[in-house]
Amino acid sequence: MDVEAIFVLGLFLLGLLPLAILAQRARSRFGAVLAVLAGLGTAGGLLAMVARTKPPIMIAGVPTNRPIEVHEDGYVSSQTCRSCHPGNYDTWHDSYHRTMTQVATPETVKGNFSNQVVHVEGLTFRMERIGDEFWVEASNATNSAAAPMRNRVTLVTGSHHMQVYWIPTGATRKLEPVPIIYLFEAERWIPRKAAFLLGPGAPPFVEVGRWNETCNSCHTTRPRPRLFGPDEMDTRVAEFGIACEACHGPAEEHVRVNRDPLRRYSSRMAQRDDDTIAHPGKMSAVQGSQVCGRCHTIGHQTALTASEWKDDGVSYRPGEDLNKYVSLVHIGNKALYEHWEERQPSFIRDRFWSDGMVRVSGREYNALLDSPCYAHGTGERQMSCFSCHAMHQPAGDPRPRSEWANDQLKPGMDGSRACLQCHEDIGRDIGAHTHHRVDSAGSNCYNCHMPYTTYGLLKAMRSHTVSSPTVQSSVDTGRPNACNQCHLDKTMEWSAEHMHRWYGIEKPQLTDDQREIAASILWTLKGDAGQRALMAWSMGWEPAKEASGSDWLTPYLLPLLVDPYDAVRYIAQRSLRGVPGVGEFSYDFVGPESEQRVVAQRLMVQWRSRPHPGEGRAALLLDAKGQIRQDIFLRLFAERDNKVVSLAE
Amino acid sequence: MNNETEANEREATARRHIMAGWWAVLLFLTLGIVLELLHGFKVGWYLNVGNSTRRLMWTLAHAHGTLIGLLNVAFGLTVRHLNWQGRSLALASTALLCGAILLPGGFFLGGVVIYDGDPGLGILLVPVGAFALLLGIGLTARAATANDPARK
Repeated sequence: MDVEAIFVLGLFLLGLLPLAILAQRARSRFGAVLAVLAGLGTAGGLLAMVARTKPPIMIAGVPTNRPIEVHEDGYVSSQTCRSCHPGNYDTWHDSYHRTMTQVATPETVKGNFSNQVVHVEGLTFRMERIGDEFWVEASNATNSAAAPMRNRVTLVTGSHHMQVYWIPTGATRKLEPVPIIYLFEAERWIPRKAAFLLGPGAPPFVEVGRWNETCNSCHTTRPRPRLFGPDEMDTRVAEFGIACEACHGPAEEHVRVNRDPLRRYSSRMAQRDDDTIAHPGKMSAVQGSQVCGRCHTIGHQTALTASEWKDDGVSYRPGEDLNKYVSLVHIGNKALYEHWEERQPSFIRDRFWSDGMVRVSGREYNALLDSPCYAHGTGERQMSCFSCHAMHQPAGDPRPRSEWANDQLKPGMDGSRACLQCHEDIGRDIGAHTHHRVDSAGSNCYNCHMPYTTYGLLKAMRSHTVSSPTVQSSVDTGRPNACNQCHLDKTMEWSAEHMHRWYGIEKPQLTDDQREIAASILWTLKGDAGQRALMAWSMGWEPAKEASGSDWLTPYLLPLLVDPYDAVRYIAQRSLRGVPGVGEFSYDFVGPESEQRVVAQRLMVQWRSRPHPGEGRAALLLDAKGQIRQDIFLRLFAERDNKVVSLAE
Repeated sequence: MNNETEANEREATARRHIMAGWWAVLLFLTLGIVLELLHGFKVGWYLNVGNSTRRLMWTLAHAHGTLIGLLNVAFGLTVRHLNWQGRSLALASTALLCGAILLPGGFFLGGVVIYDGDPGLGILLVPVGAFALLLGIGLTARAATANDPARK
């Protein structure tokens, strides 16, 4: 019997004390016994009444020009979950999962709609708020005779980094996005395609029907595309956003059986799991991770005919085997990987490094599948998404809710503790393993084993394939290795030498440039757009700046201000603003190239005018006077890898 | 039992309820102040959405405890003015005291340990206390009616 039960029993007996005294005094105990029985009867009656109360009926709004919420197939919505699980509801409510898709209201729209005028590729957009409604007016700047098109924003996607706005097409519930989005960090409107790493000259996004066909699949709970024809789309979802039932499955039965208080309390007392609802945190590492993998994945639907999918979408439910619904494309499944590599090379190229490691964000499940901690782990020691992440902020977590919501890490999992959960032996003397100062970024397991080699949302993100850094992999794939991503001022030779000395890793064959010039400079000047984006980000990464110094970064970030890729330019200007001595400057990353070039030239003149130490910095292409060696700089720049890169984040 | 003994017992009952009532008012008003302090210092254990069940339970304990305390005081004063005796008086008195302990106490204990949207096991005491309270009030109302001079 636990303490709570003892207290309850104690109070109950205390409460009955006057009754006992009465019974002792009374000539007959009949009255007292009758009173106790009647009391118990009343309590039982009340409980029975509660148990019979019918569930509230949720009636969704029924607009005709956009997808709607319909609570069917056993889905009851987060509002129903809220009454019994207020704490979990609360933390989920503050997560970005919830706000992935929302109906446009003054509370949900974060973009600036105060009569903003935005010009993009021959079109002029006027963003306007009228009362509680948000309107977009698009007009053709080159054809003033054409009547402008006005549309009311119905749904919004995203609330963390950027927000996309969806307008009705006029054909059933089919939506199309406004081709400009609002970027929170820059507090401005940008062309939608500028938010992605896309090849120069890529046409403006034309995505009529995209929400109904694709986005709903992962940005809502229980999506049903219901695509009956090109202009006949009756898309329904159980709930906009990624709500409780996306991870826990349909809850109707769970709600029904748990209306019985006796069941609830007896389950709790017996510490019995409730089999009427899925609980990813209590599943095996494989099953639990599949719940996240339903969306954070690269894959193709299986076992569904096109018509089944068009009507009902992916009907996977948490707890089921995801492999029955999705063919997961990852290097660990070599046959399937090679099949796609042959059939559709761009599908692989846009998502993976050449050795099969995931290079785009939002596909963490595939990366996990190829991590040794998952692939070779067993039982409690098999890594899963929940080894590090918590979908509900735990009680007692001292971090502000916004900090937790940023990446939904468990408390303490933003550092080496995440790995030391299993690698206790390394934890006993972490410096002996890392050869770095224990309190430095070099001793943070993540920085070497999950470096920032994936790209998405205009930044670099940690690879979710746990690996060990090698220079050979950089030579083979072009993927920055962890050593050179932090030690930006060092060559690959330097990294290879240290890894050979510390860990016995064989040194690879290197070119003269790779031996003599800092790896970051090679990737920045010669690399493809994906490498340049990662380097532009790394040059703004504080641990890297601390390890490598930052006075030499400016000449290498400046060429990226006129890079052909919008995303590279955006990241470069952000990093440049953080370089000491550069300060604020006016620059529009989607503005005219001529203006961007003027800014870059002015900043270069400014950099040259300041003294920089040059001695011993040949790897940074600095001469004895601290100036850039133009001959080598221009040679490397001329060798830039200009292949078209489009990353499918 | 002679009249004097009955009067003494009635007076003893009245005193018991007046005393118990005021102590209950003191106790549950003090709880109210504690709850105010929890609000004042924004204590998450009480105010966070995840602890809304605790907040509800303790608010109910505070409100019910105070009101039932006052009810006991009113009962004591009522007994003094009524020619009420015998088993029904003893039963009403007992029921009211049971209710004063079980009902707010159940709410309070129900808030100490909570299970998401469900209170702890202490909540099981509440319906018992509520019935006892109902019984006590019912008997008192009947006695008041029976002792109404206008009805005699």
